[in-house]
Amino acid sequence: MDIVRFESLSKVYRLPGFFKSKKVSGVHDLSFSISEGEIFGLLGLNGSGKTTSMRLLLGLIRPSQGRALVLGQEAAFCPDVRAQIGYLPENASFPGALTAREVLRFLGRIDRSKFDGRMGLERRIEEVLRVVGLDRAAERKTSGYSKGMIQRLGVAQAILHRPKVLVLDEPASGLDPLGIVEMRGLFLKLNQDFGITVIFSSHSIGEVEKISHRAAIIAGNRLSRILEREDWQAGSPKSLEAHFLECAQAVD
Amino acid sequence: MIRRIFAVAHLTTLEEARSKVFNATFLFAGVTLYFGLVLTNLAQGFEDHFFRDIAFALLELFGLAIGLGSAYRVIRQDVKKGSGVEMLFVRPLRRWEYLAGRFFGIGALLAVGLAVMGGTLAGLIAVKGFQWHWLYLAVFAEIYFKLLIVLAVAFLLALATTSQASYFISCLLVWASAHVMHLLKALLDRSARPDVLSAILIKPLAYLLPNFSLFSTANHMDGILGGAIVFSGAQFVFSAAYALIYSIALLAFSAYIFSRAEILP
Repeated sequence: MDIVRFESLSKVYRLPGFFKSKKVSGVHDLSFSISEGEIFGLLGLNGSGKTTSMRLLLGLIRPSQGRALVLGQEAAFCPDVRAQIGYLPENASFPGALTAREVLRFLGRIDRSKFDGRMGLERRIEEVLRVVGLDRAAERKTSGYSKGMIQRLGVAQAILHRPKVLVLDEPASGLDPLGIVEMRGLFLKLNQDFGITVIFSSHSIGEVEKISHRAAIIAGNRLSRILEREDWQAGSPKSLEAHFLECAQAVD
Repeated sequence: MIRRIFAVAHLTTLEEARSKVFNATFLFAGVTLYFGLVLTNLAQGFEDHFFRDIAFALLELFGLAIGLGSAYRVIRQDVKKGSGVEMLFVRPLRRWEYLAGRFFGIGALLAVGLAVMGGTLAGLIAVKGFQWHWLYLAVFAEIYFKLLIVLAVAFLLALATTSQASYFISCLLVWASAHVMHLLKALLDRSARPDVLSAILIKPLAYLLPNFSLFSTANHMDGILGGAIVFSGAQFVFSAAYALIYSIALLAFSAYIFSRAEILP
């Protein structure tokens, strides 16, 4: 069953100028779908349209054409659908004056129906803090957190309400090698143990090929290719890197 | 819905309180004390009068600083720069709920700030041996109503302006104009030969901008205490209702603009 569907999705940004605005394409005519339970990687160079695609999917920006559907509906207009999505932006930031536990408590209160009362929320907060390895730093203000800790808190807030779809924008960004391995393990566990669909963007070929079931290569703001794991695994004629370079060079 | 608005309001007060916004109240106490001491020496015979006028003006200015600063932080920095709010808006939180929560949060913060500063003022009045009058409470309330309106204006301007400077300048212009625009309109209405240009320049703004002449108990304090003017409870209730309706209308307009805004990275 398709859990996410992009239908001829395009986005044109208008950059304000002194006399008239300049139009810049974010993504153009994106059409593909993602099945429930998949780990789906969006691979592309910087500025290729990965973040734009995700923001369109989440309803944070409006499409110029087409639509992006989650569970058959546009997230921008449907709070119930948004309640099924967990999102980690590339540069997650949190109120520096608050502790990690307070941040999660606040976000949990936004979506209280997902928890079994106040105690249920507190239990869940404890659980996710443990999962991301922040349980010992939970009472520290986030202004004192490292980039890696912020990223972990970002993951914690994204999974707090037990979403069906996890949308992660460059989740490995700014993490040290050990952090990247741990994060990868966490996403695999969430997918395998809880059946959460994981959609993540990356410009790291290694990250995408290690955990994705399928991957889309976006180049020049267009969808270049959709690949199955078999297309890049050992025994296939081309590596993911070769596919990616082909797409990137075709745009150049 | 109420729960979500309350959650955002609670977050706002917590964030702002921990950002040491209440340090402004200590500054208020210091500045008011300074003027109290200076005036005792310079305005002999009128100390009470001057001290009261300056203290009320300072109360409003410090409240204004807290309100505009907080609105800038929670709206311009969070929303315009997209830092963190995107994680909120992918949750079942509507944008108007976010704005309402932020408004109530800062509104609560202002109430506490004014209460602390008002208490400080009452203490200084007692220490200086000046006379306290219960009408001062009405003045505090009117200052609060004005600050709520300015806060609603600040939310709108925080969404509409493109720089920090234009935000603060626009807010201060509205605040200053709101004090004089209805006076200008009254002068225009009384003028024997009103010219068209003045009418065009004054009348639309007089209807559009908030009317702070409704909150004038502080200006008439001498007349009220002297018995020349009667304090009107009905006028006070009307001004409270005006502040509420004006603020809600502006917030609704801000929410409309915000609902159409894109949250860019």
